[in-house]
Amino acid sequence: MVKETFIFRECERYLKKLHNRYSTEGIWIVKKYGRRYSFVCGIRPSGFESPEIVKINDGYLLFFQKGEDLHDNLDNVILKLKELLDENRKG
Amino acid sequence: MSENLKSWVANRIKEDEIVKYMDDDSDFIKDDEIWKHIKDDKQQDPVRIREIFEKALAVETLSPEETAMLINLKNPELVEEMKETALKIKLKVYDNRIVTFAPLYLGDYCVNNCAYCGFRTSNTIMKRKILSEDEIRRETEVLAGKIGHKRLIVVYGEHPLTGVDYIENSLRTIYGVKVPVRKGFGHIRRANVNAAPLQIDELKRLQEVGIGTFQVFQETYHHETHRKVHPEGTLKGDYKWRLYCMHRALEAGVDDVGIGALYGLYDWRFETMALLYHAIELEKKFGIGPHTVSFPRLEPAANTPFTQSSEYMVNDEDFERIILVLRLAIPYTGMILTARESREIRDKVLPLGITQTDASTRIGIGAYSDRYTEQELERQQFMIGDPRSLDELIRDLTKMGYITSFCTAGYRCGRTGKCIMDLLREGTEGKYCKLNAITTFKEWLLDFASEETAKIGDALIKKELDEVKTKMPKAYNKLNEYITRIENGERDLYF
Ligand code: SF4
Repeated sequence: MVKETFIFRECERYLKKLHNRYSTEGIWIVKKYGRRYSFVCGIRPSGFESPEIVKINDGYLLFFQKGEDLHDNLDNVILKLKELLDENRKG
Repeated sequence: MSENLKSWVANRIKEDEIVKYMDDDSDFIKDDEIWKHIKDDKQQDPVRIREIFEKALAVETLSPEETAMLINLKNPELVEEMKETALKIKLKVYDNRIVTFAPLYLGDYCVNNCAYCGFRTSNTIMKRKILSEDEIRRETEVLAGKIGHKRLIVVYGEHPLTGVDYIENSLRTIYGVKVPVRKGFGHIRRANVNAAPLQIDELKRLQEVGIGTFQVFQETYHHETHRKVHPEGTLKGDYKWRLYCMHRALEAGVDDVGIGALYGLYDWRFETMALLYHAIELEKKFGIGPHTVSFPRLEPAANTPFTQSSEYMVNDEDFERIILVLRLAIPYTGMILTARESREIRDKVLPLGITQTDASTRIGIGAYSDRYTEQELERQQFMIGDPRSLDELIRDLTKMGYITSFCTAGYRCGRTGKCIMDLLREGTEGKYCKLNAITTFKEWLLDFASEETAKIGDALIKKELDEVKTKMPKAYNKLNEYITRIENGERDLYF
């Protein structure tokens, strides 16, 4: 659990960077359980646009509002998040 | 009790899943300390009381000392101000929406012997039943396809027949039901669970199915009373196993938890304080307080004399105070008022900060799809006080200025746990609540409403749209777009 919290803190730090760089209205990771999407970490939503949803891995999804330019770098972002979450699994 | 049943009971409680959360030898409900706060009837300095109102309005959890001061508040002028504050908090955190749901009882077998409950194992006059998969499907079809509910609280007794396998399967069945209705289709979008305390691994399994809120009520937090009404040797007689259930749930990743007390077993002032203690403990350990708080009052049950003779029955005036105090003490939490209460009481206390209520309620096992329409005490846990249908309730709420919400958006886009706690505290969730209330209300009006309800419902929607236009101009266009798409047959659009 301690390890998990550490990794999520790492993710959170990374998401914060993305939030500032791409001026999102929220960027956060959720884990999907059946119909339920549980908040994992990130910058809480604040806008009213439907969030974009991108699969990371193992039921983890990235949600973000606005931040259009993020698309150009999305592959790298997802790769980095995958790495961070993989670290978590190994732990 | 058969040998099989005995061995099932003997293996339920895992001591290590209790002690790991304890800071010392005793649990976090300190009976003496609570009573000391209640009895320490401080001078009710209006300045101090108003500071407490301000703190609650800033959506900060109150301290036990402050909460006790509200419990003891006598000055009629300040009591009126407390009512106004409660409503302001409700509007700030959740706006003017009321979420509706239906309880769905799946079985009434239970290994416990609670003195106040019609389902207790020694109550031989009960007609016991557990719903099969087909029966669950039929019940859900009525709830989602005829009445129009989107949200359920699914209720299970504590028994191996309704253990975690059954819970898991029944939830899958419920989520699998999809019924064509007038314009779209009806289905259950959020199934909350009210069940016995579970083990961490079992809770993980429920999380995997995608449950909404996991509810377990402590019934009474007072240690001695708990011992008296829950016989020794029964599962429910283990106070701590039950008390630390929400800790296990949160550790398992079930991050929306609901707590509650059954008022009438012990002094209401104590139970109210204890609910606050529970919330503070969860906030301290997990950063997540209760998603909902319930405060049902003891009701008559079949062949259960205890329900008529308790010396702690709560009168209407004290009931109002309970709701007010809870609204201020745990300002971010959802507050559930059920159809146990009469229509008169529900109408009266709703403006004190209630956020969720049920309608078209039937609590007999299999009662939604059954032929019988009358309440039969031998088939249900207690008597229902408000039999209004969902259509009637919605019409009445609309007349009172409330918008009925079927929103289940939060837990489908990750606004759960710590995230929703923070959004509620800062007042952002209330904005989503408003928008999702409008879209889901519109869906319901199109798919289920009677002509009369549709007419006043549409008038309310128009008023709400105007309000959004001035107060949330950024969201207005999107909302309008959603309303048009819903009118054209699309469903389940949310913010
Ligand atoms: S209150 Fe719950 S645990 Fe107790 S007998 Fe009734 S159903 Fe069983």
